[in-house]
Amino acid sequence: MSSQSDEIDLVKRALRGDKEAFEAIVMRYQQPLLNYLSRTTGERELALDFAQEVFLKAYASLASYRPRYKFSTWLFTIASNHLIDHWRRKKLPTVSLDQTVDFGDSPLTLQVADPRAGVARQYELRDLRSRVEATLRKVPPALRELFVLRHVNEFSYEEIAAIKRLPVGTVKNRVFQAKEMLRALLEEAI
Amino acid sequence: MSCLRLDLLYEYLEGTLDATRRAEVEAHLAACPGCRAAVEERRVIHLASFGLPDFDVPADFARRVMARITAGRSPALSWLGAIVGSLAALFLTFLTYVLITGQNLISVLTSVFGTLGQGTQVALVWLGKVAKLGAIILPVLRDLGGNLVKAAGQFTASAGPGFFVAIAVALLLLMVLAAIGLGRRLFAGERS
Repeated sequence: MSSQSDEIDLVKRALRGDKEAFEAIVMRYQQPLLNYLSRTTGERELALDFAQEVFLKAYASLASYRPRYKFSTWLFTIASNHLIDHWRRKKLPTVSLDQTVDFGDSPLTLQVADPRAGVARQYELRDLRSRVEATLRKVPPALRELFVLRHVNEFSYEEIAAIKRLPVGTVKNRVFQAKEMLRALLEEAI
Repeated sequence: MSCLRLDLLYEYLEGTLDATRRAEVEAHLAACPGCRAAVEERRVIHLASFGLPDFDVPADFARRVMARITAGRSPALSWLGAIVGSLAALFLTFLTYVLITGQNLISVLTSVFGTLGQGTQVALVWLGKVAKLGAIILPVLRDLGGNLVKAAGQFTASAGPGFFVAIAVALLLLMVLAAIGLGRRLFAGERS
């Protein structure tokens, strides 16, 4: 049985009141969801609270899930909306489509590659990973979210576009900008 | 080929370029040490970004989620719960009224259904009146429309070409303004 049809079966059973089926869904998605929420919120306890809320919302609206969509995409759309509500409540800045991302004195746009000195090559891969993890917190939330969906959750650009209801090109552009900002921040931290 | 734009560079690193574009990029990289260095720099960060460690999920997380989900309540039946709840609330209100007023249950029921019947009767009478009014107004509106079309036809037959040019320019202007307005609205809707 494929993962998708297996999930549809779990959803159907959960809709009939089978709690074990929904628990199986929770078990399957708790890791990727918490990977996503911990990096996007930057707080462990908040991520745990949000993950619970997201699963409760998913359970409450399970009847609205349509099997022609991937369950993961549907679940992460709920999670992303939950996160956006949180950012709005906290009045954290979000990035609009037309906006150039400000970074220091120079605006960060996708220009020609800067061939300057390799910050990355100064570190071992493991060390670089922990630096990436720490530096990611400094990237604006809206860009960080797209970076996390791509690199931590390993969604395709098409899947991220479906989750965020954005054009694929815009998603790619934003992920590249997040990576470029991350690289610049790593360089700055030396 | 000029030096690589960053989006092209990242597409190259992610392996999403088609064969022709990829070959062009590789040819440029072979000839341009600056871009080669930029690619290598970003390749290391790209690799590091894909291997970030997993969040440490508490062993009882799923159990905690399930504990918050109401016992035995199926999400598919939530609408049924709402209907049953509403009916139960209605029944309780009715029962409370009967108990407080001390009225006979049958007479209260008769009175409720009588009121409902009267209401339906009034609604039907009004519906009949609206239908009659419509039957009078509709032919008048039809005649008025016909006359307006006739008048417009006579006017356009007598108007010169300058009039039509002015109308066309005005329409064009309206369309441009509408397109600008629509564009702004769509743009605002896409903001993240």
